[in-house]
Amino acid sequence: MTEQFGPYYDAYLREKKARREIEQLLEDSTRQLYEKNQLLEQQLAQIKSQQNTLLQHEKLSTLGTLAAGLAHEINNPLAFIISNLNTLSYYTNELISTCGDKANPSIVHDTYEIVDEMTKGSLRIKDIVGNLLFFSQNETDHPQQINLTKAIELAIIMLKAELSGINVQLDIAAEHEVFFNPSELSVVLVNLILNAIEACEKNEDEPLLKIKSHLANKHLHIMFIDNGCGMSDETQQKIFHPFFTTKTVGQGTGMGLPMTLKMTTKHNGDIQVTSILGQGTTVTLILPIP
Amino acid sequence: MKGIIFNILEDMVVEKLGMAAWNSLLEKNAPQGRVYVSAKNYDDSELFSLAQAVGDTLQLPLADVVKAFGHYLFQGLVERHQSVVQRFASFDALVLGIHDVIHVEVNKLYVDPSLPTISCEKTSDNTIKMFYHSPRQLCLCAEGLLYGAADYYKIPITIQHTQCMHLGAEQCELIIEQRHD
Repeated sequence: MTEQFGPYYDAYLREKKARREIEQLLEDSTRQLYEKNQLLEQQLAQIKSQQNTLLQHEKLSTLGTLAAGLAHEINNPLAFIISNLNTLSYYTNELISTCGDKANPSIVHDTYEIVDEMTKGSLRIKDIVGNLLFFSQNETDHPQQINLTKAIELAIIMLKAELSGINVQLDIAAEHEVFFNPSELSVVLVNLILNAIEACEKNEDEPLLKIKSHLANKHLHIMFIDNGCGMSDETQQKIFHPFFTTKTVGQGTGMGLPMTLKMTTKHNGDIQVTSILGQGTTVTLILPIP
Repeated sequence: MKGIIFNILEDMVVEKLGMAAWNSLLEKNAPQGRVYVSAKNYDDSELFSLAQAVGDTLQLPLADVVKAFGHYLFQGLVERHQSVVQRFASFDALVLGIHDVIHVEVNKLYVDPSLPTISCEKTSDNTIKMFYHSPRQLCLCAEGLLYGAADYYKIPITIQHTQCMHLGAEQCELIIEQRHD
């Protein structure tokens, strides 16, 4: 094309080059702005996460103070309710045997049932109060170095009945140890395994619980991986809230995971949860290496 | 459609048909006084009208023009974004990095770039299977871009368009094979 060799074409090319350079400068700035914005977003998410953790600790701390007072107030009357129920049960037996054949069988049956249910209910209140008390108690048991394999095996033995029908796979390095209060470690492990068991109960095919450990960033990561029912995002956000439970009324106190988290953070550890609804959950217990 | 695409179309038309041809195309197919700025968005229909007009001028079907433009587009993009392309040591690496690297970079530069959904898998040493989906259905442009990329890395390729959105498929499937002549 002859037009492409004239002075105007040269000027056109020069202007085009200038424009491209300006656009390049603009693009460089836009890219930098985007990357800085991304960094800010990451930092903001980190701050929010830290705020949530602080809030969670604050809640648990407030709960501890509340629990101490509440537990004290409930424990006293509860102690004599349980004691009196035992006496009432004894007196009932005495009365019924005194009455002999004259006792109305349906009243006898109902009386036993009523006393039994009242006793069970009272003992359940005692358990709940006991859990609440954990938040305020000053532990007398001191942290010590514990072999992780042994601790997990012990928890599995304790939950042998509940674990029947679930394929449990252990992949824990024999040398892995944690520095933890022994009784609290037992509670933490039992709680995490129990949660996995309950999730697996909804998997009718091949319920599987894998427990494995690895070292990362000077921490021991203990993963509890189940192929159970999983959790929605909404449930995941609430699982560490005291009294939150997905179980039916009367089945769960909603204190298991908050207690577990409290015990873990007390030992400078953390718990991370990832879950896909309908596919399973991975709970990672992260503890500093002793 | 982003202005950068119009800018490269302009380069192609000016190079192949001359400035007068581009002016004439603009006059007939774009709003009066239109200038294309790389980061701005312009109506897709404007690009399609221009491409159709190029086809009419060259007496080529639109499909051929779109494919040829895709080929030319790759070189234009390389000139403008050398640093992105230089990250890829080979044709395979570039194609496999479209979603995770190239599109990420495009998102950094442009607001709402309306990128196609592209996923690739290597099915053998010489073959990559690509899935393309976009409401714009510019799969032929994607094909041209792939040929442009192959030229850049100086390797001969063949592409089989085994399923196509234009023929009712949910997404296009392109089998890209490196030839060993």
